[in-house]
Amino acid sequence: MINPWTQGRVPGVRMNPTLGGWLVKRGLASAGWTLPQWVRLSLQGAHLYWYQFPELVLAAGETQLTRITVSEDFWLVAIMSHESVTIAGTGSMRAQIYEDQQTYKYSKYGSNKGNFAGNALEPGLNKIPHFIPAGSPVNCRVQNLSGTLSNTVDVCMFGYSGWWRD
Amino acid sequence: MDKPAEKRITVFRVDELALELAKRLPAVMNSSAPGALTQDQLNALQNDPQFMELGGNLYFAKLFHYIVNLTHTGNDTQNQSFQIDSDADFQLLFLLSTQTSSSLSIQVTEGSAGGLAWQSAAVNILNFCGSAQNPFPAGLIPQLMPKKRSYKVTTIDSSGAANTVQVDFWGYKLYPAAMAAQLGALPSSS
Repeated sequence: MINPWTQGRVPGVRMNPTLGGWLVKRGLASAGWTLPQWVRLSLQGAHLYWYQFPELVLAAGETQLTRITVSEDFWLVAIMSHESVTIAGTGSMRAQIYEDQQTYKYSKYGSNKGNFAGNALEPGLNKIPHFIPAGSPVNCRVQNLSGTLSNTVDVCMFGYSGWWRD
Repeated sequence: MDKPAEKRITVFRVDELALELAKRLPAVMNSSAPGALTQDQLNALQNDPQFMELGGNLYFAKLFHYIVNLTHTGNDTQNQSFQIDSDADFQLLFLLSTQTSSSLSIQVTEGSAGGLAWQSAAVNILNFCGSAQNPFPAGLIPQLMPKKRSYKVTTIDSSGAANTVQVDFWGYKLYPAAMAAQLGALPSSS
């Protein structure tokens, strides 16, 4: 079994958890649910970045499309969202993201908030980041699952941009 | 935008570079001066959990928080700048915040007006910052905030009421390993 914290390291030089995703609540200091070390090393120098989809104000039951264009090569690590309405269980919205350039859909059908997006407190990380090439439009179709209330929905994609540092 | 292939540190080269630098410890980085530590001290140093390798360089990592406080009266925009101290680069590990209301969005830009932004548009605070209990691991890929660089934090309140916000950049100051003695981190020789 490869130990991702020691594999590929210099003998005698201790690997430091500062390179890891240390999610206190889940008690993880290593790679179980975070990016493996080989991924982090390959992306070394990439800059953190959020692509924020334009905010949607959805009437009860309404569906709308929002879109951004990725300006630099981008490795998507987490999708996060915030809604003004809370519905226990499913969450108050359902969404599907797809890319124009590759017509690549992130899910077969619309996915409920609870299965689709986390937040900064509990982000739900892609172990292998999803690559989106520079110039790709990315669409997000969002449906308000509240049948009575207007819902303000913010969806963003967090990851690392090919905005390399020297 | 890409680094040339020979400059990029890949998984195939990182060991080689780190080992090369490790051999020079505890001399000042890239210096030919002889080391000042005994072999025992050097061994102890390498077992110190604050001693880390990053991108082929060796550092002492000291815990540090950069804090930004903003106070909203309601439906207003506030901004506050902070500067990375001149004594060490900062490795951002987590983003944290507290706020009265989460009807608040945030953006971070580098330098002065028109500086590079960390996001395409303002992001809801709960999609940007976690808490000490559930921190947001922005530094999964190590993010270096260079010494002396300034950052501007802007928050936009839409709650309509007073909103007291604290944003916390939690990480490590990265001191060159050769500064261990000055930091009080030099291992005892006895």
